[in-house]
Amino acid sequence: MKLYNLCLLILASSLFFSCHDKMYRKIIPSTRKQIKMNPYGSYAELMTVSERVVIGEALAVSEDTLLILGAVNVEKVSLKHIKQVKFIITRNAADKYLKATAILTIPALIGIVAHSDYSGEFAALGLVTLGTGGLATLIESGRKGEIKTYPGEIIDLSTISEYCRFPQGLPSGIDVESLKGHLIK
Amino acid sequence: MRVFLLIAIIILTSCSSKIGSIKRVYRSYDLPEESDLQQNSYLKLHLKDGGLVVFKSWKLDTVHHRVTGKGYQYESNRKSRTKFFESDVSFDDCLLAETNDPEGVNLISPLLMTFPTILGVTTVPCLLDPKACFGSCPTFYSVENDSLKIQAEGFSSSIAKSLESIDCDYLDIDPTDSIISLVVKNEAYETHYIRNIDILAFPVMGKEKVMQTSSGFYKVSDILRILNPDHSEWIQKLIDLDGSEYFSESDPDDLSKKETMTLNISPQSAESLGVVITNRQSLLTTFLFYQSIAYMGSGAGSLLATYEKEVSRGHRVPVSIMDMLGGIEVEARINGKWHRLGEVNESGPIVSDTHLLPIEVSGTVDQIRLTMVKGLWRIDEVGIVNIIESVDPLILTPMELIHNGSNDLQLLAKLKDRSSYLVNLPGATDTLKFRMPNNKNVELFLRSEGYYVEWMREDWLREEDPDMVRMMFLSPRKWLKEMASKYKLVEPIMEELFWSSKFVEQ
Repeated sequence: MKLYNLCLLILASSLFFSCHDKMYRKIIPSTRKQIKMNPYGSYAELMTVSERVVIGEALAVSEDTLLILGAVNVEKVSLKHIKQVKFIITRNAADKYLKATAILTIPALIGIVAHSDYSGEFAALGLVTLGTGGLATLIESGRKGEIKTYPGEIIDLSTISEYCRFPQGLPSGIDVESLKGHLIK
Repeated sequence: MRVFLLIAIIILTSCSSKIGSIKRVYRSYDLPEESDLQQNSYLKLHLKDGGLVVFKSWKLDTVHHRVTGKGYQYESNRKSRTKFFESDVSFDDCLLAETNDPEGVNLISPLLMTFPTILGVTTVPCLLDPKACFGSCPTFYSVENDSLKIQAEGFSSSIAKSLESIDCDYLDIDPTDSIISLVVKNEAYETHYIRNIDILAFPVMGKEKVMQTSSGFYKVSDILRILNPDHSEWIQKLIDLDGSEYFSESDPDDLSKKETMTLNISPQSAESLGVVITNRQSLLTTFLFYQSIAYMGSGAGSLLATYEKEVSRGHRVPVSIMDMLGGIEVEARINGKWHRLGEVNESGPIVSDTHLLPIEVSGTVDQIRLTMVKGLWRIDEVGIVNIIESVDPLILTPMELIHNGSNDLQLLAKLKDRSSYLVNLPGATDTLKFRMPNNKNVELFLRSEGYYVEWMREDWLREEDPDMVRMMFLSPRKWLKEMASKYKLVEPIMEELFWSSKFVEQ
């Protein structure tokens, strides 16, 4: 196998591996449609006055307490104990582009392996696919998502309910412990 | 360098863009008073039980205090989603309504992403039949500002020694220097036997041009465009020499099926006029050629040797597929009657070439008719020119041949000796230098002579099929019908894939 074919294989493999550790935060909308339709609350990263870090989906503000759906359970943090909080509302789609580029390179990789007579041609196709997909990913990764922070853009913590899954407050009859976190893998 | 600069600008521009959203939250009973709300195509309703309804399209019923529309419904855990086609929600069942408008439109990365998407998807058919997607011919480039510009493909139809021929191609070079360089590349699994390469130079005045016919070269002027009063899109492609080509799809049942197009010109005297056509072949012939070799399989060598032997003995050989496909038959309507002017038969899919067909019938010409096999030709321009006179060229022979970075006198001598061949294997690159005549205004043509031999690929041997070979030689029309469905699978993507492959530097 020629060197550039090997490089292509390594490059594409690395793309696959990079896809896997980017799967957290997948509830944060990145496309226009997702932004309009997103049924979840914002992704929150919070630090209490005692320097405890809580991360997860903002569920609701109930009786001056912010409920955050973490990976394992629901954390309840009194608004008075919040030192700083960051709500990540949108993000770029770079990881999706990266994954798509990796998948789109598969036919070329199969071609390199399955048709040794045409390995150069399939490698060329694969490199063009990787190159343009990589450039699209690079450009997309430079775009900034929308983040609201307290203290910062958020002045009053009583207004943060709008970033929650239940902006109306926690509906009665919901067993919060039965909700499952899905943010962190 | 400019490409990198452009990429850097795009990235920097994109980096400054933000993906934002404007969120608005309303109480459900306030909805009728929110005048700007209808502008949002998506509306979220937060239900009292924690559920969520996301409307993709919706209407407000202010009388009955309901929202009706189409969209999705989620339970409070958001795990289960129900798509509904028509639903309505009472204001009594919900507490809040929400809209989210995205901000910061970015078109660059999604648009750029369409390219790998198309390429990735179109690579799949090539996995099934790679020879349909990749191919090449002896290719010539000029050197301009340290980069290569594709100029011509030499003797494309000369696929065996008995088919050795001379090929003349127009060179789109403005010779500002006294010496010009041409790079000759073998970019496929072929062996090229080059007997001779030289440049034909024709001094011209002003806007005069030189065009070739099957019998020689003519100085021409004043191209007359075809008429397009209805602004037809396909005729528009034929009006100017601009790279925008007319192309039709092949017939799904018969690759030899023909089409005819009739083009109008301003009626005028046909005296000293000629029809000019700039065209190249589609990849149909490449496909058929490779497929025929694949069917020959392990017997390809002996079959081609037999063919060579029969031809050299002067024996009649069966009609070839290429003969059946033919060229572009050109007719002109003169005084209301159609007259055949000849046939344009430019081989090769890489570079377009211009051909002149003199009108040798007197009278008034008002229409041109082209008849050709569907899907076989890509035509850039059709027009009428005024023929001034026939001209003879100054023949420029190469003064230097650079091989592997150094001047190779031995190879140059071989190229100049008509009794021997310069033999190029895959990957070979030679640079030829020519001294230009003193005339500043010259039209240049490349004259290449030789043939090439295609290498058998391991992949192709799997398709060996003696029955198809017999059919190809004995019933070529039937064979072309058999091949139609196979070609249809790859036809839409061949052109794009060919230019994406490593073979040709554009």
